[in-house]
Amino acid sequence: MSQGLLDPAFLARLEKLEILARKVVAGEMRGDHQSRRRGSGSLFRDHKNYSQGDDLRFLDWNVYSRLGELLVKQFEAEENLDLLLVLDASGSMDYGQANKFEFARRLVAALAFIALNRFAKVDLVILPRAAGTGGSFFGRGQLFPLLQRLQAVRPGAAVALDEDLPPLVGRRHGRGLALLVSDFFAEQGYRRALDYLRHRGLTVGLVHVLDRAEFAPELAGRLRLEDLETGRSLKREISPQLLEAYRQEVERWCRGVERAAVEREMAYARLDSAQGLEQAISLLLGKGGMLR
Amino acid sequence: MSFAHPQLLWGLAALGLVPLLYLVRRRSRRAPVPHLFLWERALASQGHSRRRRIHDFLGLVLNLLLVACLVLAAAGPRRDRRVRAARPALVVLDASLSMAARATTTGSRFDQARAEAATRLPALLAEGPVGLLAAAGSPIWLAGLGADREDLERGLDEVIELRGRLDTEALLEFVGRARVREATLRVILVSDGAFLGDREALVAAGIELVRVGGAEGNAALVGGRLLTRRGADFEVAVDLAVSGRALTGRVLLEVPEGEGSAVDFTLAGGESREFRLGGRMAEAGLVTVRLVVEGDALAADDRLELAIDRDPRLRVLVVAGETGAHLEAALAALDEVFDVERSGRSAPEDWRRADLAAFDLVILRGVDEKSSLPPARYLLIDSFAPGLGLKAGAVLDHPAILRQETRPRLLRALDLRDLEVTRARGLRVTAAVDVLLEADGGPLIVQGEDYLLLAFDVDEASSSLVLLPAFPLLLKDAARELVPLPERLLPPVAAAGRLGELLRPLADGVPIFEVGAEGDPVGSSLRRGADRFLAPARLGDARLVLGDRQEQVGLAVLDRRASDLEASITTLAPEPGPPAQRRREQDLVPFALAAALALALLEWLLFSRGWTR
Repeated sequence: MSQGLLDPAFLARLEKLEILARKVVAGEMRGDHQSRRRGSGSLFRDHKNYSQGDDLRFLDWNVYSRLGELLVKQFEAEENLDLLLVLDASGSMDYGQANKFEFARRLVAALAFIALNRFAKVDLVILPRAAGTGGSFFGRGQLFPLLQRLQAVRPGAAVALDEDLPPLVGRRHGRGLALLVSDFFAEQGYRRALDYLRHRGLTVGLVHVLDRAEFAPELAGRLRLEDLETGRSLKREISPQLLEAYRQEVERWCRGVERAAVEREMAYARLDSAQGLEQAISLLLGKGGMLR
Repeated sequence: MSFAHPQLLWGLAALGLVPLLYLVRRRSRRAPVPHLFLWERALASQGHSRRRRIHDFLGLVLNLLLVACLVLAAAGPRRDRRVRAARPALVVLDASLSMAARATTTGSRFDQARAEAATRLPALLAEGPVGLLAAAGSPIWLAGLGADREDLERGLDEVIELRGRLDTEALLEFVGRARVREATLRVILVSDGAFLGDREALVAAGIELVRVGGAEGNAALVGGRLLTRRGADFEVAVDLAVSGRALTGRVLLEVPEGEGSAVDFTLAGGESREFRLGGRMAEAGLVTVRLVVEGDALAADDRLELAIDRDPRLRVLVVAGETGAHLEAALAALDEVFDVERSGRSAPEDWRRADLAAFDLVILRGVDEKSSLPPARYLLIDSFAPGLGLKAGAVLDHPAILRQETRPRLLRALDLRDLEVTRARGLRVTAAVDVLLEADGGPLIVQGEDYLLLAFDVDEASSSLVLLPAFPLLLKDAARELVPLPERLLPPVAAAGRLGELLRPLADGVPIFEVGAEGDPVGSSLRRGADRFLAPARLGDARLVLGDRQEQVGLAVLDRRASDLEASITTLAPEPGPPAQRRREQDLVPFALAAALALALLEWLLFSRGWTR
């Protein structure tokens, strides 16, 4: 499945996704992302008194002619988009009839492709560190190296989001969009990780990838349940009642993730690993608005 | 509890498979899940662990019970009342005639027997089912084996005719067959003890004898038979049983137109003995054996009628001037067959005046040929060589003698034209039309209205026949051919085992007796609703008319009185298998299946509906 990232067919799909992204966003990448900083953009923001050293090109001569004051025009700074893509490659992601990790990996690849096409800098972080290596990528030429990195990721190790995410994200702050693609099944918690990203000044979006089998597992009889992430096991007779209780627990957990995102003013999207990539991108670009 | 197919109980070994399957089933399949903590939370919310153990244990127990129930159902369990009550009992009431003996205050012995049985019922019922029988000849069920005391008491109240003597052999056979089915059957015979012999056999068979009858004594003639008859003399044997107290009396043999002997006896209570009595009676007839006893409680069993046939030997008159050694030897050898008288004179005029009708056969030898033969059955043994000297012509297909030529004068008086030739040897066809009959070697039999003649060609000088050792047999056969066997004197109906038997055919449709008025002992012996008993057209085909239907019955003669015949009718004796016992056997298969179904339902409710979760 991992071979698919470098397949010509997949690359063709990425091209289509790019077109799709343009339709959805209806604009170029450059200047799309409004910075809080003032700079040399084209959008007027304010005047300030001239001081030595100011670029004379920005003196407002019209004001000087009417008021006799030297005022310098200030514009909104227009910056390139920094996209931080965090891919959860924990053992729990390697699950599902439509494998969650595979879906997430393709989704990350698609998002990176779109971002690189818009001259955004893409930072790829793989969780946990043992699963693979991330990196920074800029420009369309970096697409293949990025895909190769993604291709090399091997899911399976345990992840504690609260513990593992901050070191990998590092001291990166401000000016950027962080997309955390995970199933968020972190027993030790994920909220501190979210707070960390938020405090770094990043605009954070949570892409919650789930498989249908997690809501309605087709299990019955006496089973030894094995945790894909930790390797722990549990022998139990699976009854319909237990299945229902489990389903409620999963639902409760997912609602908790969503609530955590809302509380932190983060965008949140829940994706089914079985759904199409195009549908997922549309959702993220349109309704989720994560890439605006 | 017993089982229809006990071999299927081996299926209980399958119970061992249940825990095995249970353990196999408990083997867990591997199921990878993305995370375990949510499962653990779900389990925790269910409080699952303790219930799971209960669930598992319940499942094992229910499955064990289910398999056990199915195996038991397949084996056909039956609840046998014998389990609850280990020993069934059979109370046999002696219904022989002697039980009718009546004391002054306590009713008849049979009444005492009923009371005794009623007293014992509660204790017997506590041990097991009880059946009630009346036995004189063949035992008759009064109440089948059962635990219903009212049924048994109703059986005790049945009207029972007391007759005959207790047939201990029939009782032993009945008990033996009943014990094939009920090995632990306890048998209690309530009797006055007035039955013949076999007391040891009863004891050996484990039959408990409960005596009834107290101070009253009863002497009963319980059996009798003709032992010997020779000429007018005969000897009979009678069986006498005394019950109650000791009695002294006399046994008399009364012979009509004859003489009978008598014998005195003293017997203790419960003692029985055979007595032999002699008599003299010229002809066949019925003789009566009678008891004369002081203080006898029952007179009905003091009289016994026996049929005495005539002497079975042929009464033979030998008329011969000289019998010869061979004939004498043959007559001596045939002493058991021939009762011989000799005339001693050969002149026909001398013996023709004798009462020839008193003889079955007249053997002639060397008589005067000038004589003629008076009507009788004759066996001629003489040297009428060659042959009898009798020649008769007859058409081949017509037996009548057309012409005769007889040399012996003796035969000349015979008008052979009136005779019918029944057998002839040495036929010689002399002409195409006529047949000349000539007996020149073998017996010639000619039979007329008054004559029956068989002639041997016996030449003492030359015939080798007399030298033959077979001559006595030849003589006997010839005599038997001439003289038919006398009819035995027998009552028309006699008891023969369980089923009565007619010994000689009666005219069809002639009523032997009709049902008497209520209370009549004859009537009481009949089945309810019986109208009359008709003489059967064939032997062994006695039928009792019961309204519109008929029923084959057994017959037994009780008494013969003048021209009336009193008979009792008993239905065919029932099989000794206790029918009520079979009814009491309860089939438990539906219960076992219902239990299995209930267990399966419970398991479904517990595990499919999740009652234990």
